[in-house]
This record gives sequence, C-alpha cells and structure tokens, in this order.
Amino acid sequence: VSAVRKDPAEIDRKGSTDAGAALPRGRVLVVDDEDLVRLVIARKLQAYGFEVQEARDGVAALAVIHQARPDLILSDLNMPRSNGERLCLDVKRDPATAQIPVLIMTGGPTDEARMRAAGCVGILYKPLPDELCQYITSVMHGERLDPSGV
Amino acid sequence: MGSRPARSSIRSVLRLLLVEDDQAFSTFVTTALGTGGEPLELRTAADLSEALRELGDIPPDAVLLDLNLPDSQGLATLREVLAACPEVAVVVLTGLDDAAIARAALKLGAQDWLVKGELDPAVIHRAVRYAVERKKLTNSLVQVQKLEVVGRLATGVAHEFNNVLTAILGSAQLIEEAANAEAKASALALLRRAARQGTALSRQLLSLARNPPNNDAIVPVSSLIDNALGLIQAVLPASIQLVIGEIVEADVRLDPGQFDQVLLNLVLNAKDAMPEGGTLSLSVTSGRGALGQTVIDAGERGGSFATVLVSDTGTGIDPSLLPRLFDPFVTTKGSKGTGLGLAVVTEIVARFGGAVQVESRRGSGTTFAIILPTSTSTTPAQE
Repeated sequence: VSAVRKDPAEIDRKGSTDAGAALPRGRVLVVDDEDLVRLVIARKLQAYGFEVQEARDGVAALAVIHQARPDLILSDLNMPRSNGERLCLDVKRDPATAQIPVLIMTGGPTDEARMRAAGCVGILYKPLPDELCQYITSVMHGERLDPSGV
Repeated sequence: MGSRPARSSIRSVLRLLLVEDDQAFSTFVTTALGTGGEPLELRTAADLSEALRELGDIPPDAVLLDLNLPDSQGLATLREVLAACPEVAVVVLTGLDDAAIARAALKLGAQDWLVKGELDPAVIHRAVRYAVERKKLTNSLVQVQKLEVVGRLATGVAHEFNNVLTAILGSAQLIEEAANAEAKASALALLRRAARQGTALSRQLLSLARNPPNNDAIVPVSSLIDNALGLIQAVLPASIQLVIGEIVEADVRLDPGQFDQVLLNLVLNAKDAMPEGGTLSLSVTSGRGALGQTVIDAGERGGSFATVLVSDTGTGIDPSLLPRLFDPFVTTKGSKGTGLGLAVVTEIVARFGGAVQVESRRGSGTTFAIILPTSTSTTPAQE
C-alpha cells in the first residue's frame, strides 16, 4: 500500500481551515500499477489543490479507502491482482463506500456498458485530458459530465 | 538489408557448396553436376572449418553435406553449418544404412538427404532445387508469422504507449504550470523518465521486427526474459497473473529478436488458452527439461542446457492433437488461428540448436519447455 500523502487528521473535512491554509478541493485516490503514471497524475492533482492518496492495485486501494475515505476514486482498469472493474464492484457493494464516485481510466479499448454496470461514473481514455482536474471537480459536485466533452 | 551480402531473387544460377572429405566422391559429384541439368555454381570444402569459412564468405543457396568429416562427426556437423548460416538449405549425404541419422537430420533442419550409393546427376539436381525452394518457403514463413505476432501485440502496445503519453502530457502540463524552478526541474525529470519508457518499448518492438535474422549474440538468459517482460505484460489482460519463477544464470547463443518471437508465441497461446483469466508462469531452470512430449531432440548433444518454461492454467490441449501440434496449419483456435505459431517456434528453436517439449492436461493447463544449449564463452553480453 502506498503511503497516504497527508495525514487525514490534518485536514478539516468540512472545509473550515486554519488561517492561511488553502481550502482543499477534496481527496482523490489514484490507483494505477504504473508508478510513473500514478506519480504524474498525483502531482497534477496536488498542484490543482486536491489531497491525493495512492495505491498500486485494487486490493491496496481498498485498504487505503478504509483508512481514510476519499471523495473520488480515479482508477486504472488493467492492473494485477484486483483490477479497476473489480475495485468498482467492491466499492459499490459496501454501503460504507458505495457513494464514492469511481472514475475508470484505460489505455485500450473498453466495454463501456460493462464498466457502467459495475458502477463507475465515467471512463477516461489515456492519455488523459489536460482538463482532468476540472472534470474531477465537476464529478465530485455531482455534475456527471461526459468525459468526451472535457 | 543487414550486413549479409544481398542474395538477389533474380539470379537463377544456384550457388552450391559441396562439403566432402572423400576426394573421389567429390570429383564424382562435381562431374555429375557438370553434365546436364540447370547450371550450378559449385564450390567445395574438404572439412568443416573450410566449409564454415566458405559459408562466412558468400553464403551459398544450398550445401551438400557429408556429416562425417575429419574435424567433425555426425549431427554436430549439421548443427555447426546451420548455426553459421541458418538460411541455407542443407542436403545431407548419408551411407546406405543411415536412415535414422537422416531422419534426425531433417528434424534438426536439413531439407533432404541423399544416399551416396544411389546418386545420379538428375537426382542431385532435383534434390538441391527442391531443398532451396523449400528453405525459401520456411524462411518466409518465419517472417510472415513475425508479422502475425506484431499485429497481435499492437493492442497491448498501444495501451502501453497511452500510459507513456499520459505521463508525458501530464508532466508537460506540470512544467507549464510550475510555480518555481524546483517544481519545473522535478517535472522535467518525470518527462524524461516517461520518454525513456517509451523508447524502451519501441526498441523492443523493433528488436522483434528485426530483419534479417541471424543476429546471433551471447546473452544471459535472464536478460532475454527481462527484455521481453515489457511486451509480455503489454499483451496480458488484467485477469491473467504473471508469475516469474526462478531464473537460473546461464549464457545462451542465439538471435534475441527470434527468441522474443518464440517467447511471445508461447505467451499469446497461453493467453488464448485462458479466456477467463488464470496464471501464466515463466521460469528458467538448468538442464534439459522433462516434459511429456519432445519435438526436436537435443538429447544426443553434449554440453549443458537451460530450459525456459512457460505454463498456463488454461483449457489444455486435446490429446489427439498433441502429436501434430507443431505441424504448420494445425490450430486449436478454429478460424482465429493460422496454425503457424508453434511451427515457427520449432523452426527457430532448431536454429538455436535447442529442443521443444510440451505437456498438457485437459482443463488444468499446458506447459511448454524451450531447451537451449548454454554457451561457455565468456564474451561479454551484447545489448
């Protein structure tokens, strides 16, 4: 399990922050077995103001989720051990986590209907759009934008 | 293409190398070939070392090869010739009682054999011409099948490139939006790392597509596996777990591009055998392997061996199909398969002087063993 980048206790989840601290835009869990891809996405989200958690695969992701619940999960599809679809099903099955939106990203052809059936709110094709952060924000706020329109 | 002298397909005069230490017999063949039939350009060699020199000079189209020479005996002679020049068509010259040796020679990659007591000019001419045409077909089969493998890799590799592009575009954006020099430098480092990953991937694809074959090098078998891992991971779906077992330290002498082709064929077969997912295990042990069925026997050859094992937990192969499994156009995949993969695996591994074994059980999986002679040379490994 990758390290959670920031101790969840440091952040006031209601948004009432210490004087001067930037208002966190929310917590995103990035799941990808490709270290470099995960790292770049994490940096990008952090630069935008998200708090970022990381995991290498679906099994590691579940452990992170139960440690500190993210506001959104951005997960690769093709991973060893538990893949993105499996992770999505696991998250949706557990009432404690079912409301967390899951975005699936993939570099190859994908059965979109099957991913939707697993409960994901959107499918992002790699390479990811420049406007990834804006899209994530809109999904967090319940505006389920069509990713192809990003 | 490549460093070898070009062999024009327009040139109609066949180049033939006769390797024979019996001067009287050599003269007989030379005279016989001079009388009638198609014109041939004939060179002769009286022992193996002279033959190897001739092969290195200007590769002939065909070799008429006496297996028993002053400096080399039996099938080892054929192996040396094929190792030096895998694209040449070899017709073996045997005695009257050597049918078993002749059949073994065919399995090792000879095209035909001629019995010394039964020769006449027409027979020699026909055997040589057939051998050359058949060898041409086999060589082009390896090339065509390589394209099939590359085609099947395309989806997986595109997937990998999209990962690399995600990292490149993402870090480019980080550079654009960097708040300070430190952030910019760190994003630049990520960009370079991503570009290097892309480079490694394209290099692997190119090594597979490399032409002509026979870029032999002495390489540690572990580096062959390491280099192929990127492509292997690219073709395996998430539902298939890749398990790398023990990899022994051993050097082998072969064409790494062709080894990739062999390994990827086995991996793609394993993947097809596990539509519902499963485990693909890859390991390299020392010794000759001990699976049920052996194709191409490396048994009588001395020296030491390394065995590459590729196992799946898939559907297994129908026992009735096993004896013909390595024949061209035999497929378990219906209209989805061309039946070329394993035929080409056999052809290439024979060129390496190795052997192929298979063991399969319906419903529980299949294991293939590629047995490679190890090289004792201490020449540094090539990239």
